[in-house]
Amino acid sequence: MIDIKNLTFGYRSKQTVLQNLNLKLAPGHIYGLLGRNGAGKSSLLHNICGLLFPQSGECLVAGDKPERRSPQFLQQVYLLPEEVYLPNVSIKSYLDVYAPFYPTFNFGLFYNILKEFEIPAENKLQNMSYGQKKKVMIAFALATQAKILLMDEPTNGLDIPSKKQFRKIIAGTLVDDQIIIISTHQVRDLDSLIDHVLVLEDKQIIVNESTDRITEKLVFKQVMELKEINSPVYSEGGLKGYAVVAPNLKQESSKIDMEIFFNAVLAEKNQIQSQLKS
Amino acid sequence: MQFSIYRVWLLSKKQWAENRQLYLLGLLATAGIMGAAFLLNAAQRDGLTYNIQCDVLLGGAAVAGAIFTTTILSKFNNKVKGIQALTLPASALEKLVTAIIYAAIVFPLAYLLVTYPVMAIIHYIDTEIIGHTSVLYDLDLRRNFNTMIVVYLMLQAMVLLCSVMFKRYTILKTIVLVFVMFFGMITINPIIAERMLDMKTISHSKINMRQILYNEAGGRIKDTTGIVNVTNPVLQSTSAYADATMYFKDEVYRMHFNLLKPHLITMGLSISDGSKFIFNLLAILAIPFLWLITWLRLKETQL
Repeated sequence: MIDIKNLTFGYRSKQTVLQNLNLKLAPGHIYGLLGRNGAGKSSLLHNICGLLFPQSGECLVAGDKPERRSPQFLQQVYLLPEEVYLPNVSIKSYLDVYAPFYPTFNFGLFYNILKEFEIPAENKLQNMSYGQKKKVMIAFALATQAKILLMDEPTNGLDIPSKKQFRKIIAGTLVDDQIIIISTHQVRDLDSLIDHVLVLEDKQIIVNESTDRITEKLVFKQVMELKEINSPVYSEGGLKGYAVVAPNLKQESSKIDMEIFFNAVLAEKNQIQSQLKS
Repeated sequence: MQFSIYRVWLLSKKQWAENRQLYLLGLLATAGIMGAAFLLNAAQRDGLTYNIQCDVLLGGAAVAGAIFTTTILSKFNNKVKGIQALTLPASALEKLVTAIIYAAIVFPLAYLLVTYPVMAIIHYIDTEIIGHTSVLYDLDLRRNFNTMIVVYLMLQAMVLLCSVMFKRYTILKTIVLVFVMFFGMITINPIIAERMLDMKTISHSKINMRQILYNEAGGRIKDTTGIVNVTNPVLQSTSAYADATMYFKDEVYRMHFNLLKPHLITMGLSISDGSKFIFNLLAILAIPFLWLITWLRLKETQL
């Protein structure tokens, strides 16, 4: 559903943010897009939804070129930005005005999510806190039932209980023909939600693997002493010992620690890549 | 190119829902400012004359309309608002048409609906209380309609283009551009007019003239008619409206009045209706042309 070939993009012609980037994403998954600050995560999302145009290469999203920004394309691709603009109207007025642009908009789903987030439907948007506004927009984004849902730091501004609700809601609304891409720094918030990891580094996607594949090839462990692990690829010391990433030679079952994995990829890129390819 | 009237309706509804308060307050403020402007003129020696009413009302429409129009598409240049504006499922053409509807139809109607009654009230005060004598401006649509519409639309089209072209200091840059184009037209039009006037043909023409001589008391001394030869005419000036004046020396007139020197005759020249039509057509075509550029710019707008 998303097919990107040799995508090069930069805000200036000589300074590229993305260089010959290749990416193919299939429906039915929640992708976590990870990368350092300024790595180009938002630029990639904006290229996917047609807010930015590639300098070269090909970007096909839902069978269309995003830069055309046709209404049919925009009905299928929804971007929830990190900072949201909301006019000075009530939630109901907002729905009256914006929902008709999306033919598949599900009003029932919207109000259910709102209820789940404990937001009164009669609230006026401008009188709400940043976190509450974010929740309304999350509800709206999911209710559009867009085939491709792009979320840029969606948990920013959400309190701890809301993050849990967010995970539950997202997991419950994803349908088979839908792609959700979540770009985030707060990886621990979404550890259990993301089923596919994309790491953007050096202007390219250097990791594009399912969490199942990652835990099949790598094992994530917490140990008191490093010598307990034969050949760790990466380790991080802490109060409770060491968080270690090691080759999964014994086919052990472990839960992916997204933050440790991301740090491991940045520190030991080649080793991690070779382990995942093996 | 995709176009749906339904989506234009949705966009118009959205524009109104999001800006209703601002628009209503803005209209009230405009009515207040315009009321003050009319009152100021009513307090002058000649009062609120027909021409002053026309100038203030239409001048106000142009300025207030331009300020209003700047706000419609400027959201495309704002990062946070721009994301929503650009990703909203509607084509660039539909978004532009909505902006044109608001700039060219909704605003002028709302402006007239609010400002005209204010002007009528102040005109009533001016004539019935202050005691000036004037006729209420009746919009004079038959006489000035075309010019008024074309100039207004051209200005709004220019402002719309500027609002998507300039990311920063939009209003300031728009004012500069409008002035550059205005003075550019004033400079270039006379040059075009000069080239269009065929002075050689004019030089050999004969003009049927009637000349009346009055004394200081206004009494008619002499009333003569005769054919005057236009010889070696000199183009004196040309205006932005492509009209011109010329002067030439006339021997017949000198002999008729027994003057010592040939009389200097100054005459107004006007380009033919056909040529004027081309000028008018160019002005009219400039409007869709500016809209076309705005549409292309809107299509190419990136965050």
